[in-house]
Amino acid sequence: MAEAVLTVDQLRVAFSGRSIVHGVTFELQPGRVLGIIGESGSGKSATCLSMLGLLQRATVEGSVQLAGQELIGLNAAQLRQIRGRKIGMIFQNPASFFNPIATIEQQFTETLRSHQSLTQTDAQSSALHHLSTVGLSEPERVLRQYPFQLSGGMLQRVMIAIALSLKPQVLIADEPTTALDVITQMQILRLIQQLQQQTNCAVLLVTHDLGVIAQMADDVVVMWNGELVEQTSVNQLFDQPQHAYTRSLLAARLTPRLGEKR
Amino acid sequence: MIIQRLLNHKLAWLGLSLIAIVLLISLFAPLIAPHDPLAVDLMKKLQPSSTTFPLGTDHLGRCILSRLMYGGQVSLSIALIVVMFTTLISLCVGLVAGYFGGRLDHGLMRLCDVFLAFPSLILSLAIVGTLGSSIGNLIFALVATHWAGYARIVRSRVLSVKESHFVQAAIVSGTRSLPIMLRHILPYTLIELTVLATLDISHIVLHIAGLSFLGLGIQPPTPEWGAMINDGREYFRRQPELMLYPGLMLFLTTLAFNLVGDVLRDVLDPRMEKQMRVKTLKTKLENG
Amino acid sequence: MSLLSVQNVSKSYFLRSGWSGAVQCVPALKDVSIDLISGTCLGLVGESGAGKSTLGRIVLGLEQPDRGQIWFQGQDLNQLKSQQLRSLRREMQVVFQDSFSSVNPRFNVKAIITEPLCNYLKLTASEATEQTIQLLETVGLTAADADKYPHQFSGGQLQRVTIARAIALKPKLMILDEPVSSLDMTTQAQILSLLLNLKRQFHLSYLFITHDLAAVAYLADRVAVMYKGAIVESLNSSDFTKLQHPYSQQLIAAQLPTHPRQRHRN
Repeated sequence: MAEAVLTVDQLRVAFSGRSIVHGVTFELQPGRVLGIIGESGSGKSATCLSMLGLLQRATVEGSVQLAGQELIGLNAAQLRQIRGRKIGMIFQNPASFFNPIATIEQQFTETLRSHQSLTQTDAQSSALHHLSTVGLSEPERVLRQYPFQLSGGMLQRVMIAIALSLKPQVLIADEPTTALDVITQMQILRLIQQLQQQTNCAVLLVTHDLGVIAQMADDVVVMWNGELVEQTSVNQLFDQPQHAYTRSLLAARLTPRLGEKR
Repeated sequence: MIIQRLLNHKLAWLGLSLIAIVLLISLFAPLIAPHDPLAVDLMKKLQPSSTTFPLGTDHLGRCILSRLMYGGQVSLSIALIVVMFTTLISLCVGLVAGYFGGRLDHGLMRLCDVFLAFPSLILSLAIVGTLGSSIGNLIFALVATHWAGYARIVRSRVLSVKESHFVQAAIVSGTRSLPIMLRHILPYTLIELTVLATLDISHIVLHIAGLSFLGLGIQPPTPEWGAMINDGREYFRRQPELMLYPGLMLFLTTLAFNLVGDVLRDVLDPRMEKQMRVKTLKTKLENG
Repeated sequence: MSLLSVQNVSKSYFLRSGWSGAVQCVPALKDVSIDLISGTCLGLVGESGAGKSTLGRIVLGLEQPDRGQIWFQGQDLNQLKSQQLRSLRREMQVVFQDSFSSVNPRFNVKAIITEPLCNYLKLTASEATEQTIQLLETVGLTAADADKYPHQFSGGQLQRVTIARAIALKPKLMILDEPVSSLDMTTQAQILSLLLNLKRQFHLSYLFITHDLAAVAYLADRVAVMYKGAIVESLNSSDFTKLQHPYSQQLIAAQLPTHPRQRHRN
């Protein structure tokens, strides 16, 4: 088996003395999608955000290695090198990701130019190229807009475009479709799948929705109350869940699907 | 919880201490003032600081320190009464206009516009000039100048709170208009009104001083800081302290209320109430 | 007979766009008609912005339609005077999506639940407490929760409180505006199960507004699909696969799989 691209070992996260994540261990294999499923309060988002030092006022212990490089304990300058370039992130609420008073072009080219030495023109054409990759039909128009002028689905696509434009080894997607409606959700998920297969980057997908796991994940990690209670392949999870919590999650699914008999 | 956060700011401490000092001095003036502020003694006029008169005497031989202390009483008590009436009127107008909307709202807002169209000093001058300069007329003039601005702010707050789901749920539950306005909407306007009032007290104190300086506010011989500045104008070259000390008191009082008001506004800003504050992550991703 | 009959309702909003102030007319609802039979649940599905919530607000009397009528229990809501409307409000209650913004954070649970009761009934303090406890237990909470404040609850628990408030007056119709969309999966299932039980227990009728097809399949007897402010199709939920309209078919295709073997491949 190939070497893991991300190795998490006994990761602990605490806020002012209160432990949110109590020692979590898992691996992310290159080119695969690892789904982290849990309810709100299970610590799944905290796990991912703490890896990149994005949680203020949190104490983080343990080890997170990206292809051999230790991430915990890096200073701000070193983390800057990692974020974006080696590990990309997309979030649930695209609006909080963007600066509301700058155009998409300004923000996209700024990101590109801070990680690569490009002229403004080159950055612009790179941005255009990536925006069309994510299925936006009028990328020139999108570049000129401000975030509030775009819908949630379009903003999410822009965020994915920015995250993948830096060609990271790992993409962390924290509830990327929770705020979107049904049709847009499926479009975005399939887009992520498609791009993941094209660029072969590894994806860490955080969600509370088993349907998203069923659609996207190769392997699954189940979190509950800050602990990792089950870790297995996706088919195994649905067919033979081991932990009682996993079984309760599966039992709580609403059935039947629309169109089937009650 | 808000008080707690307020006390975390050092500036708030400074402001609150200054306010406390000024209030205490003004309150206990009758007990701690060394002399009668109205006692005229022309033999002792325009004396510099001494042990008997710590800040010297004015052009009529009255103790400046005592007059400063008593002056605070007058200015601050009038300011507080003005704020009270202004708040009451603007709450009524703002709530009714914002909640009921329609023609009532239009009418009330046009009334506000009329009052806001006048520069405040001119309007108050006109009122006091016409009605005479008693304390009652002074209060009336100040309330008339300030209520419209407050009312607009209350109304805009009411408009936004009215759209929130809990107000809509109350309407659906069958709650009548008055209970909705008083129990659901009013508490959310008070917060902003408090900040506004705190920042405005200093305006009002200055306003009173301004009117008194022009001879239309507090009438002599009642001590008042603005009037004292006016009195000191003639003797500025000989004894600048006559203008300096009351000016300093005005400055400190204004500063104190502004500091507290500023900190209060920052503390009550709802955007600062997030517990887990993840900074604009875009900036984090691109340059840490 | 229909409990609720919406007939040819239209509503537009006027927005100013840009500095020139050019007024844009945005149609939120276009000639919408739905029928709700007493004791059933009508699911209203569509994307956000399709006008579902606007229709809910119009039915509740929180907004007026530009055209059309709302018939509730045989009465035309537009023709009613405010006093009559108020007495009709007893029969029509609402549960909103975000439980935290649909309660006054300064009220404790008892105050929240007794507000509708005190609007219509004269209750003594002990009667009010008794009813509150009864309602809390009906929705799966305990008597101890009556003194707590909203911030002490999780989203799911607080939603139970808003449901208790909604059923306090034993209404005939409940408008459920995305009641579980903000909750995570396990809680969603619990709340929907509670709503189903309450419907059976108290013979309630629901207008269930949502974008979640799984929830609609679970709770609704009939489904109406809204697209850009118009009803494009409506059927019994068991016949949903027979839907013709391209948008409805898109909706069905966009459902997330229940097992990895059923995932949509590129």
